Amino acid sequence: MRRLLCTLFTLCWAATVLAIPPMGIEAPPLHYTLPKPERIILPNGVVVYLLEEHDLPLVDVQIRLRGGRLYEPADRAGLSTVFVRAWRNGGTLRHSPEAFNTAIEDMAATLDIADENDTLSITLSTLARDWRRGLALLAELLRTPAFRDEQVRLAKAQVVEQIRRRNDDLASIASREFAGFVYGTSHPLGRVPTVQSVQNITRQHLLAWHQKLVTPRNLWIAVTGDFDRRAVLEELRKRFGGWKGSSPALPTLPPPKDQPAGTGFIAKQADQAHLRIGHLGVPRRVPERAALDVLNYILGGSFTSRLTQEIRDKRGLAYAVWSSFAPANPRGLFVIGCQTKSESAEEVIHLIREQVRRLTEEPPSEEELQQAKESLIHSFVFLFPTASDAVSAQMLLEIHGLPRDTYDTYIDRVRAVTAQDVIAVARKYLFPDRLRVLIVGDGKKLAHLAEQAQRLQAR
Amino acid sequence: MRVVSVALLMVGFCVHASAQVSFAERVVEHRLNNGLRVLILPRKQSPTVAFYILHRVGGVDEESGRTGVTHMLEHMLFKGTTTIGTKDYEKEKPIWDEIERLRDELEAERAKGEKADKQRIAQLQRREQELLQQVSQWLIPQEYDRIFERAGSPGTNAWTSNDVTVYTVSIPANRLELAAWLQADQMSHPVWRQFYQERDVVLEERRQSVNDSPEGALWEAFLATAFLVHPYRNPVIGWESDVSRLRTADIARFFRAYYAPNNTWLAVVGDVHPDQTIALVEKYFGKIPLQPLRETRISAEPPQRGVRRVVVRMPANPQMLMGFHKPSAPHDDDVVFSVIQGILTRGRTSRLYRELVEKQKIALSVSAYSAPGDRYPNLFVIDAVPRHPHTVQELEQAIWRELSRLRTQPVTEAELKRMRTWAEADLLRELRSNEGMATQLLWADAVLGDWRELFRFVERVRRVTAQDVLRVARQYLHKDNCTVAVIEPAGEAMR
Repeated sequence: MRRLLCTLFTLCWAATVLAIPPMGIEAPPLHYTLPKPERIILPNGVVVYLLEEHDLPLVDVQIRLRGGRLYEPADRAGLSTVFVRAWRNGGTLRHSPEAFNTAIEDMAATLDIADENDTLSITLSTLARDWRRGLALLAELLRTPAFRDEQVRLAKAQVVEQIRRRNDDLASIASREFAGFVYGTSHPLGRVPTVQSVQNITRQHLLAWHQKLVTPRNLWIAVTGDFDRRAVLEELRKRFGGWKGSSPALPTLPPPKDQPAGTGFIAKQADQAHLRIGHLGVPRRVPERAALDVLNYILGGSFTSRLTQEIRDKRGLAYAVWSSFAPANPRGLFVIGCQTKSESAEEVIHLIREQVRRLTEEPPSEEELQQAKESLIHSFVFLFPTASDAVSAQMLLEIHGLPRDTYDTYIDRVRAVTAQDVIAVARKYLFPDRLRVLIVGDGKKLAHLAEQAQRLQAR
Repeated sequence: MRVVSVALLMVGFCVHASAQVSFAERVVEHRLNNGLRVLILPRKQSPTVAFYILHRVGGVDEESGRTGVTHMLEHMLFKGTTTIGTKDYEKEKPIWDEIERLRDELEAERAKGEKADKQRIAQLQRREQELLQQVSQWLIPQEYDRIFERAGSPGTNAWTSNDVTVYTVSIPANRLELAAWLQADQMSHPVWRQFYQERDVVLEERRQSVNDSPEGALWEAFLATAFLVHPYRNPVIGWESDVSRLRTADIARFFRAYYAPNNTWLAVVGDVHPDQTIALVEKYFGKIPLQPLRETRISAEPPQRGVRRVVVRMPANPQMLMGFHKPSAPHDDDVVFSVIQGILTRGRTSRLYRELVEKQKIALSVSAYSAPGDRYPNLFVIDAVPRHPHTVQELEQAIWRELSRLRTQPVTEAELKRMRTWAEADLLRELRSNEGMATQLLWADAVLGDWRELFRFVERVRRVTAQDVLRVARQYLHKDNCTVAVIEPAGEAMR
């Protein structure tokens, strides 16, 4: 009865024989098919991705909307976080919060709403037998949330408590304040909620935010799992089809400004210094993504990376050292992170600077290049652990306006990367003379570093 | 744990089973002649395989003065073997031997503390640097990781808990033989190269996950208070003074005693054929010789006679842990505790969430679990974070009120029913991932004694009655059996 939904896209790696010990262990060809969902657009603009998968009696629904933290007004920073909490916990016009949660949890279902930088996600997981009831509750929460006063107050108070606690942990200070140090503390990517900005939020703001964002033209729905597509489609049409609304106008985010080199210091009583070193990175859409992934693998994106070898393996100076080129809208971060005992902080900063510079001065060795490329190509099968992950990722490509075949072409793009490409992207995107260094650690033990740095406060 | 932080918080896994008979029927078990036990679960979801090895050795097996040796050994297994990580082992070996002799003197000198001869220490350190420089020409750094990553593994890792040590590798399905070869080589011919650099790495790990971490520091003090004599009182990562004095001889001895095939479990979950997998495992692991296992004699924790309290002062906001001694899985009372855990803290309908977070508004969050292991009687832990200006004392009072309700009034049928549904759904969700299933199969078989416990759990939860909950709450959830650990803000002014 069911028709084949997938347009099959199969990757196949040729048989290879290992040239390393143990000599002669063969790797037969591997066949991998990226799960390809069916895509349907309802007349009112809702985009639906469907993929049946009958391995286990479970159904996953993920809904995405454009509009996250980056679009909050500055004087109400934290709005998005309060919004998703109060939305989820505030019940619906039909159901009190208690009745709503009881209905969800009596099915052992989970329903969560999360906010990210520029999207919101609502995820529902149910046993296969309960998908219809789960979807009905999800639609009810989506279209007729109540944002009850009591839950709005609770959401605000909980976010304020998180603000009070956010400086308990060095890693959280380092990540947050490094963003401020690079983007500037007034840029949406660098600013943080304050107790005051959260207090400024009212229930009316949340209702207006919901009205603005939650419209059929701003809705992407992915359903994966053990269901019959016709039944699900029918239910989706019933729940979301008759709904009208236009797409929300979201402002274009201001581009952050590149900053000169600089060192910042934040005092916090501790045994280790937490270091963040880097500068502005790349936007979501960047033609050299594959070469950047190779570069990052070589620098600090793997357990065989140069940073791990130099700082952890050879010298025992850290448990954790890593690098990242995560893309973001409008600009991501290039950042290296490391935690080391106070006495070693200076040496580690020096070693990191040296490694960044080296990448811009000489191409990687053939051995390093092959190591990186083969790792990225062969580990592609692990990119999406479940069919639901694969479908969500492909849906996100559409939302972010990225090429829809991004994952289909990825392996070929990595395969084409040369050592010259790597040094070219290093020279284009790495600036050893513009590195911004943030040190979070003990003011007394790190006095010599603190003296030469700009003193900053953890917000 | 080698890459992800916090080795000491390996919380006992919640085990859940379900009517997923088809999965249970697919599990193939096999034992090699040398005693190594193999569990295979074939599933075709994607062309990937989780290849997980468990040695039944953890923090509990350590002696005083050498805590942390299990975890240190775990780190060292990634340093290569006589074949992996070296251009010529025969050439490097004498240099490592010389470094070891030099360390005999260096460590002894350092142990003198204030009275140590600083000049001599500097001299020895220079000599060690020369030797390390010399030996580096024979090394292939991180070759083990290189091979695995190049074959498509998303990263090799391992973790140590109070109970067990687990090596975790995932690989594309066409590299099963490579994984079998490398993992068998790793557990047969390890070389303790770069030991003292790795010891420094572990000390950094300790600073990060205990000294500077409010949760880590609180956890360490909590266990050391709740257990007076049983080794669950020791941190898995080891006490700082112990770790900083570990030597290669310590880990070598530990390795010989506990990494025997007859103390080892292997789980292979994913796109595999059981017969071919067994043949590969026989081929590579079959040669490892069986060994007599060391007899360990572990002190039993005496019954607690009165509440115990411990305060950790550090620059962080308050939080608290409450722990109650109880039997561990697969004891019947542990199943009742998993029901209690759900009723108290699972989801937005749970009692403590509703009462403390929503109604009284005195908590930011509250959760519960069993820890720190299951080989010996463990603790039922309630983990709560107060909301300013409310204090941990207020929070504790409110929790006691809920526990007293549990001791006096039967839980409702609706609550019990919800827990049964959760138990069913939990295993289904666990079955989604090769890695999750491999971990669960190993844990159930090596610690609980039978992997089938995973699939029995739903039925066992189904049999729990309101009377069972009353009895268990009365027996264990009282003050004389309780340990309370709190963080008290100190040091730099906090927001």
